[in-house]
Amino acid sequence: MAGKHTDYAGGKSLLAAVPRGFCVVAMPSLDFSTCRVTTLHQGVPLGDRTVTLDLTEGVSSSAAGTTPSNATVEVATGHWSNYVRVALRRLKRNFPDLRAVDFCIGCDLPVASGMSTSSALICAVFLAVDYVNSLRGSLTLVSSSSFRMGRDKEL
Amino acid sequence: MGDFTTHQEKFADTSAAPLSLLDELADGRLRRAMEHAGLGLDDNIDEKVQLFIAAAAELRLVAKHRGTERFSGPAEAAAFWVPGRVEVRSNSPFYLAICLALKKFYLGTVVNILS
Repeated sequence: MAGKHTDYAGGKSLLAAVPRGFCVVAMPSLDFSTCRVTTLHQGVPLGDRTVTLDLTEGVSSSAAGTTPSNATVEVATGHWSNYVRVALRRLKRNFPDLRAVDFCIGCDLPVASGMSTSSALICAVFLAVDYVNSLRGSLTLVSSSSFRMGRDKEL
Repeated sequence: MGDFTTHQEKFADTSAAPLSLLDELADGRLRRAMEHAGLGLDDNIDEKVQLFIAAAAELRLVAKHRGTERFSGPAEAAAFWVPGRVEVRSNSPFYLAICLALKKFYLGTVVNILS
């Protein structure tokens, strides 16, 4: 329920999860400092589905095909990756030694339907970062390590 | 955060985690995990599984491009499901209709809560 502005309803708000959302696959980044994030959402043009975010420089972002260190084009306001960048920047502030993560997201939430796509995306970023950095207990749905260690025996 | 360094070292050695999440997603375990998480027959699990597989395949391409697979196969990967939400009671009663239409809402419970 992160991100809910309860003042919208005079302090009262009742929320419910829906059976639509984000499918996220994440893995640790090899170079420790650069995140590469890809969306599969069909509403995003093919050439605009991947961004690179550098954790060492205030979480700057760049389009695919450029390296963050020499990127000169900032992502436009309203770009989907801004949610990712802001979430990473905030986590980086709390955890300066954050290790970078590469992740890809698919989504079956309808666009602009008031179903908290942005909040879910921010939660997805946290889960991906948490998985690599163990910021808290893992909420991993499926992972190689969990199968190997037998934590998901009931599955 | 006490074992932060330990986990960094763990992932630094990709040879310790050569398993392929992509294969695991395709063998039915993901579907069972989603059912275990509460998603049912009406929730298009197959479409979600395909999204996970597509995401894992894309990530594998990224790994190859970035050299993560250079030495010993793909690094350890994980899959997460993050649901959206609706506001059942707020300044937008329209959301209530959406929620009911999605068949994931227990009206009796809500009536009790609202009363």
